[in-house]
Amino acid sequence: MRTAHAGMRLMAGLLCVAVLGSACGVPQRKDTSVVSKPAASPASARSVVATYNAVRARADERLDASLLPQIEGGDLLDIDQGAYFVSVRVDKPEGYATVRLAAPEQVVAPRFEAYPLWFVVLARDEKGGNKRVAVFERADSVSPWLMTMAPETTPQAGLPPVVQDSNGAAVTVAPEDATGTGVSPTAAVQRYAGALAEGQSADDAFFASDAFITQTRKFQQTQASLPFATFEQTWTPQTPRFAVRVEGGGMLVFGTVNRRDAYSVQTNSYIDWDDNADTAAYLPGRVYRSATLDYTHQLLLFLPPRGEGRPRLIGQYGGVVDGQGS
Amino acid sequence: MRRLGGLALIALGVLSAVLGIALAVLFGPDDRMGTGPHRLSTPGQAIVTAPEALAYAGPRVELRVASPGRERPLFLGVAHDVDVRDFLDGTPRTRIDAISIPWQVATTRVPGGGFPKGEPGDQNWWIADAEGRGDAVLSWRLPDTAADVVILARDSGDGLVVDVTAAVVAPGVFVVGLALVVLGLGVAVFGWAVLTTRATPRGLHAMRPRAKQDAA
Repeated sequence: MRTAHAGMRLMAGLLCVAVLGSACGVPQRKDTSVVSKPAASPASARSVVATYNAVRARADERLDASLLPQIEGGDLLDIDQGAYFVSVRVDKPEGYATVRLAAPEQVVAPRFEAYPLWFVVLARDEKGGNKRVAVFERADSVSPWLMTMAPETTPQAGLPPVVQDSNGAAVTVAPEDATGTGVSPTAAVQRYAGALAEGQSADDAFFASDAFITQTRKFQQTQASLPFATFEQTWTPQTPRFAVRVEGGGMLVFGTVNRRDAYSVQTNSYIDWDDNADTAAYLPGRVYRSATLDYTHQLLLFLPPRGEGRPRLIGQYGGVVDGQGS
Repeated sequence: MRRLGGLALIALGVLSAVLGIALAVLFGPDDRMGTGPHRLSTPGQAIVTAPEALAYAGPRVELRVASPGRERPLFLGVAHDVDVRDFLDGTPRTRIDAISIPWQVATTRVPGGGFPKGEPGDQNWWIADAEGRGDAVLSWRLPDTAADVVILARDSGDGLVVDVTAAVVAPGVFVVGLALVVLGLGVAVFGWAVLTTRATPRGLHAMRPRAKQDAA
């Protein structure tokens, strides 16, 4: 009887080995109703960042703005091409901060049923020292991944935990969705632009104070005291395209605001911006009548759940993109 | 109990042998279980499967596609449905909505007036791809995501006619089948031996009661 049991155990064991050996090839029914795909995996995000670094290094080395469209797009391309333009014009290439991203510390990738796709990485900038919260976008299946937003934040910064769906993908928020926070991504960017604008408004107290607002206020005061010119600064928000839900009910919102600095020079006077790189590049020589400088700023805002504090700026990156004067 | 054990061993052995024979016959020495060739055609430029047509994940599949008559340059690829839909957006094609075994396909014509958005071989999102003139062979493991198979003529001629042979590939399964046959026969013979051999008392435990009887 014992031998019979041993034989049965041997047979069962062998069958198990045979089944396990071919288990990877056993057909399994899958859910074909799910036709979405995550924008990126951690591995593919690393690959995209590596491609960015390779092209960016060549561009930085030669200050060749024509290489940037291979890896950047949208407003970020305008900002960085503007920075190259300034560096070349003022002949101070060493003054321009080059970029080389370390391996992403965090990848935030939603799922999409169709192109365009986008994902977010948090990565340390090995050249600049700070971290960048970069959005990579792919417009269609044959286009390259382009970095289109890259707010800069502190070296110690981290992103709040992002809500994930059942497939582990980040949950996005529509531009007009104010659920949980009481303010939508669109409204938040509009109000931040309002807080940056000259003069007092209800938006000033809506956000926690930050260095960007403080510096902007100081700059407005400085320019307003110019003796022979009037200064006007305007801020125009764009509708945000990227926002994700964070745990607890808050949101992370990527926003863009366009700034215009306008100067009107009094008769028989002039402005000379020799000591300012941005204006020296775009407005060489003296301006006798009027001048405008256009800037673009990319923002990363955290909107806490309603009643749990004020929204705050996590990161910002911007620069001059155009200038005209006479 | 001994009789029951013997019968169980015989049953297991026969079952194993039958399973082994089935595997060996179905897959054959080339470890492939296939169907085809079957003719597929489209007035458009591509033949594409819908995600529902590939409703299973796991096995390795081999697709052999040949263009009858003139040797046309063919591209075969399998990729996520999101990528394929965007890549072929506007391209006239025939979509295979369902495949029934042994071979019956339900198709839908997708109209369009354009071309694929780029060179198929230049894209990095193919799970697997292959090219060939006149015929091409694609081998891949069925993914657990929504994937489409694309058959594309790389020249710009109108319409596409191909002969398709599909097979499930299981490397080593023929040998495993033969091994199961041998093993099953062995176990069945062993079970027969257990069933037919009489048990004889052995050892001290068997002897002692007899000694007590003698003493009595």
